[in-house]
Formats: sequence, C-alpha cells, structure tokens
Amino acid sequence: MVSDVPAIVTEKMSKRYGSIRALVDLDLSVNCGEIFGFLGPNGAGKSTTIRLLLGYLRPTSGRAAIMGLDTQRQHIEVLRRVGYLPSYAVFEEVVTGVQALDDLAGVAGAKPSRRAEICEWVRLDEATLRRKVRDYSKGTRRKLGVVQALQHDPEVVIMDEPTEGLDPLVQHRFYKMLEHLRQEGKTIFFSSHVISEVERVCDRVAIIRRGSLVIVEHISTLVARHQRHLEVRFNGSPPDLSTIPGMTNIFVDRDTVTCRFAGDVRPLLQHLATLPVSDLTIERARLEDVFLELYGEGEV
Amino acid sequence: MSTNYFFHVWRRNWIKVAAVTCGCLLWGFLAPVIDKSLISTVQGALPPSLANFGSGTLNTFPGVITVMFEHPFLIALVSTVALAITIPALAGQRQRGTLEMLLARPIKRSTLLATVALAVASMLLLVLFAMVVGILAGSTVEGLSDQVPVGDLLVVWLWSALLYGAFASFALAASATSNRNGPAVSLTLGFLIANYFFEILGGFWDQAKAWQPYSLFHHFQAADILAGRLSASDLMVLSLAVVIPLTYALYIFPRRDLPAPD
Repeated sequence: MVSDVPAIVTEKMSKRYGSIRALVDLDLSVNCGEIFGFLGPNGAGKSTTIRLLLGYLRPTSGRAAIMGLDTQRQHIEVLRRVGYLPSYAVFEEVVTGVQALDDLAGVAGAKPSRRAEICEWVRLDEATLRRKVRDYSKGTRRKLGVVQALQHDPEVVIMDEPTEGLDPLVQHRFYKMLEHLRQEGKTIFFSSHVISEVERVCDRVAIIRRGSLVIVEHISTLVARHQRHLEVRFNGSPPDLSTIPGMTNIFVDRDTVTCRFAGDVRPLLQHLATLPVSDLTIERARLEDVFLELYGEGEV
Repeated sequence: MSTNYFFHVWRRNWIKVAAVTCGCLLWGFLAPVIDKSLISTVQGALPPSLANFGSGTLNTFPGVITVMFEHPFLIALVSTVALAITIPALAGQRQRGTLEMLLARPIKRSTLLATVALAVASMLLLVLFAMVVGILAGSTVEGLSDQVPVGDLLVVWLWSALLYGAFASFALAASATSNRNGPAVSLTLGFLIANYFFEILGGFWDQAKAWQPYSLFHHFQAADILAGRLSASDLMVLSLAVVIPLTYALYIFPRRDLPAPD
C-alpha cells in the first residue's frame, strides 16, 4: 500500500565544508511508490545528498525525513526501512558472498527474506555465492551489492549509480526488477549520471547543479516541454521556414532543413502539407537534451 | 553492544588471536625457565646495569615477570591485538569502504565502536591470560610455583590488561577519528614508542628516571603486585588512560562526518 506521507523529504538541507558549499538549500519531496531519478555530473552534490539522507553526514542547516522519520534524530528507525546501494559496494574479500550477505543481515538484525528472489532477478546463483568475494568480477560484486540493499525488503531503496559494472542483459533484468518493486509500492531513489537509464526507469527526475536543485519534474512533462528535433527534406530548394512559430536553430543544407521546434505540432504539419516535402523526421526531445540545455554543454 | 557484530569481529580475527595466544603462552612459560637458569648461574647477582630492564630486574623472579611483560617481544605480540585489530576495525574499514556498508544497517555508531572495544578487550584478556597460564605452567615445571601466588598473578593479569587496554583505547580513538589506517597506526605507534622510550631510558640512565612516571609502562609494576603492594595511583593512571581515549572515541565517532571514501 502506498502511504500518503512522502517517502523522502528534504527541507532547505545544506552542507558546507568550510567555505565550500556542497549542497545549498535542497528542497525535495519523493512520493511513496515512485522511482525518482537524481541527475547530475560528478561533484554536483548527488552523493552528498545521499550521505546526508543516510546520516553519514550531518547537515549544516535544514533537515531531511524518510517515511516521516527525521534522518538525524530517528536515524536507526530510518535505516530499518531503507536499503542502500553505494556506488562502490565493498565487501570483505576473504568471505564468501553468502557470508558477506549473512554478516550484513546479522548486524541489521533483519531476516534476508527476499534474498533468493533478488538473486534470481540479477542472476546471482548459489555456486557464485559460495565463492570468496575476492574471486568476484566487478559485475558480480555489483550484483552482490544489489542483493544486500534489497534482501531485507526495505520500503525505500537508495541507489547510487546502480548499474555501473552490470552487463546489458543484467541491466535489463535490473530495470524490470525496479518496475516490479515500484508496483509493490517501494520507493526508489535512483542517483545516476547515465541520463538514458534515468529516462528509461524513473517517473520524476531532479537535476542538481553545483549543489543546487535546478529542476524537479515528471520526465514526460519535462521532455514534452522541450524542443523537438526536426528534419525536413524538400523536392527542390527549401522555402523559408523561419516564419513558422516555434522554429529555431534553422540550418539549411541543399534540399534539407534541420531545426528545433517547440510547441503544438498541428500548425506546423498544416503548413508543411502545403509545401513540396519529400521526407519528414520529428524526433522527440530526449532527457539528455534537457539536461544539456539546463546545464550548458560546456559544464558537463 | 551488538552481539552479532561482536562475534563478527571475533570470526574475522580468530586466527590472529589464536596465534598471539600461543605466543603469549610460550613467552610466559619462558619466564620461570629464564629465571631458573639465571639464578642458578649468577646467584641473582647481576649488576643493575645488566639486570635492570624498565621497571623489572633479572635478579628476582617477580622482576623477571615484569621484564617479560614489558619486553618488546610481548609488546609486539600483544600489539597485534591492541593495534592491528583495533585500528582496521574502524579506520581500516573506512579506508576499504566496508564501514559504509555496515553503517547503512540500523546500528548506532556508538554501539559499533563499543562492540569493537569489547571484542578487543576480550581478546586482550584472553592473550594475556595465556601469558599467566604459561608462567604458572613454567613455574610448576621449574619448581618455582611457591614464588608465584596464583591470586597475585591474576591481579598482574588484570593490571597488564589495563596497560595494554590503554594502548588499545588510544588506538581506538585514533581509528575513530581517521579515514585511513596510516595516520591511526602512526599516531598509536608513536604513542606506544614514546611510552616505551621513557620507561626503558629511565632503567638505564638515572637522570631519565624522572621521566618514567610519564610512561604508562611505569604504572605496571608486576614485581610490586606479586609482592602484594598495589598502588592506587598506578591503578588510577591506567584506568584513566583506558577511559579518556575511549570516552573521546565514543563522543567523536557518532558525531563526525563520514565523507565518501577516496
């Protein structure tokens, strides 16, 4: 069942290291049962935000809550309800995968009730789990990281670059697993710098830049509001399209016009129908375009 | 305390502890053997410049026991527990990134630290008890058991645990404030060596005797304890040396920021 209480809330949460402002007045609200993307390049403040949520860091000002529980004052209660996959999940090298998972479950005092199921999702078989962690490949360590984050069936899962090191087939299964978890009402905070996967799996996205929140929006809304890429080929030399409302960045190359277009497509199509068009391509904007525009390509 | 984590620390380190326990057992066994061979050879009349070592002397059996407890060999052995288990338990885990995984579980940092402290304390008590068992076994074999009252030897055991516990406590504080093994090891080794230097120097050089009370080793006088002379001030100094760093660690570790490992 999806709760009315936001799964994750931050209110004016800031973090300073001396004169360096790692995070500035972050206001976020993540709904229960959604996959929330958190985008930004390295150093933007993604990991700082996650470390503040999990209590590794103390905010300089502001506060955060997970499932209505204050992350500082009710830290232990918060951690009971959270699963965390760090960007570099590290395990003791000399133990087997099973021992590593058992040790973490033992310290948590929580039954690993979903271990078998998660192992199945990420294709981590028993024979592999019985091998020492030091013999694992990067991808297998990552799978083990996914299992430790989810084996105790947490309500909220915080993932930092979760698919780093996973092969494409496992990545595909991983995305399906996230979808399955969402249908169960789990909340997933998905931090990444891989824009395409955020676009693929997340409902909403927050983009962070130099420690400040740039935008929080449904991905579909964000993309729909953005300029489409248009390519029109004409029989003969192209007419002037600059008079059509919404057209920008027009570039003519012999019989072909490429441009950006924002707004309602119907007037555009009506206008083009009157012209000698031989081919037309309209590409919807991608999250990557939005991201690059919000960031400024030079900074990424 | 987290029982699960307590046993986790033990499971990870039992080979080291077993090896140190065997070493301490043998080392303790040697004390009566050395005493018997020296006393029978020189009739306990070694000149002080040769016989004195720190607070101990090779001219008496209790003095030999003191020397054995302060000897660099035992310090190196026990440091395997006091330092080489304590420091990696926090700073080492920070450096490797495994602490991150642990602290994502619902366990308080203070509980984690207290659990490490208790695990190391239990290990120290075990390895030092092995030393006492070794001394008793050696005494029986060498016919010196009448010179070592078991009750007093148990007090020596607890007192030595306080001494090495003080270094372990210092190591824990250094570990709790560090993100890497290196600085914590350097700081703790520096502290240990400085204490040892003050104590040993005073044993060889009269002008340096005034510095001996600044060494924690000086507050562990096995010969006096075996003679039934217990010093309340020594007990207090060692107890404070355990409590102060531990309290500092318990204060600072839960409050410090833990940025992402490098």
